[in-house]
Amino acid sequence: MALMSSATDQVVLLVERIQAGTDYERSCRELYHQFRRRIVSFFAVRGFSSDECAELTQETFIRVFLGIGRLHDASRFATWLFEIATNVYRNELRHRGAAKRDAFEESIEDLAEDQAAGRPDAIAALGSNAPSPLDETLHRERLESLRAKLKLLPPQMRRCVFLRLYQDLKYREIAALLRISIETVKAHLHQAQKRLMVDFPDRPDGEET
Amino acid sequence: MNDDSDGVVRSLRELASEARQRQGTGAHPSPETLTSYHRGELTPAAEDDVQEHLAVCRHCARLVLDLPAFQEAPDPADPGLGGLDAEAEASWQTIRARLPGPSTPAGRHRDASSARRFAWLQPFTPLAAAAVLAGATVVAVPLWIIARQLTSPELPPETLELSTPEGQRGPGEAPAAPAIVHAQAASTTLLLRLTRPQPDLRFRIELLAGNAAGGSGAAGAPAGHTLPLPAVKVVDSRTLVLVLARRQLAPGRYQLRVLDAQQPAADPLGDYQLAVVEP
Repeated sequence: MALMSSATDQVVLLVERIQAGTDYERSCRELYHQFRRRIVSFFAVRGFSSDECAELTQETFIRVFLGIGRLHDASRFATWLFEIATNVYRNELRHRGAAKRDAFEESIEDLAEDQAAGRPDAIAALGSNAPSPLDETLHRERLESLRAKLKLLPPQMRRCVFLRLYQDLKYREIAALLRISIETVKAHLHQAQKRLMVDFPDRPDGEET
Repeated sequence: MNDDSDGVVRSLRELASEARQRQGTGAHPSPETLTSYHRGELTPAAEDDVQEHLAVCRHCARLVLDLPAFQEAPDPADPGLGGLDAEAEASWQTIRARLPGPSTPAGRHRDASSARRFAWLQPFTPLAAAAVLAGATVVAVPLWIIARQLTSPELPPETLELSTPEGQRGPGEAPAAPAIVHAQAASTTLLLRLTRPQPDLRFRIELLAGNAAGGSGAAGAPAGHTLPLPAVKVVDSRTLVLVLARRQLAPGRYQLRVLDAQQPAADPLGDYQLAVVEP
């Protein structure tokens, strides 16, 4: 704890030095090296290549050093840096087209459309598991039924369902995201399972019991 | 995972996609909103909106989940300046090259540099401030008085009421005795009575140094020279209030004419003579 406080104090000191113009270049350099890995990781976990990460990291720090005079509370530097990195990330997505990067979220319906258009990748992805007309009809019915049941769930319970089943998050992640306890998450999902009358997939992730 | 679960996940994916469409696919909470949400600083309604978005947006959910680790103090195991790798240092040099020079970095540092650069002006600062204040007073006070008089429902008691004498409508007519305006007055309010109504209330005001009859011109201004238009307020179709600032009038004779804006060549709606005199 004392170590963390000391490190944070050092960051505050560096930010204040940069803002005051005292030992400017050296302070910028030190701050950059303290946070560089964190920013590279920020972009790396979002699917960017190492070259792209390097480029986006540079872009982030240039914005940081150009705008650091506007940071009023030096102790909030890390949060402010995160906000800038997020803006750089979103700008990059906008430039490249979010659809490309979100390819992993492409729905089966989209793949089916691709297949109809004769795109070989989509056909390979689907293999021989393309839904039959009967499957499609059943799916549509289930969709409508689920939609109606979801509407009846309390908002927080419905969000837990989406986060668990759609986003595949762990209980503790859902709890952190919605700022509720893990027990509340479990209770919500248990209730939702009964109300939706479906079996939730049981994903062993080492923590859920 | 059984078939039923697969179906639920597939359906949820579609429902999440629908929800994102409703929110606007390009619409995400700002980074500042996400960090405020994480700190619990949003109103309940705003917090509800963010949670509704997070439930169906993987990008923003991941950002919020990554925030705590990001906010931790720098890892002491991170290489300090003594243990830098070549790639990081090369990257820093690239950043450094794209930043403003050391003497003009951004923000407060730039302010500090500017302050140092203009340090020699410091002894003159009170003098400069006084000069700026005096200048602002000279310009602002008459403007304030004019604005106040124009917006005031009551005209000041020293208002000069002017009307064009009957029979003196043509430019060749002999001018009537001019109205006297004191040159030292901060401003002068003139109530202009027109010779005929102007229903569409569109006027053209001309203030000429000297008079059309070739009277003595104003000091420093050639006869017949049109001066900047004074501030004017339309009271009704036959009455105008006009305020002259002191700086607009040097001592001398002036001709003030009110014309129909649509037909400026027609007989003037008002034709007045002014004499600005030193007290």
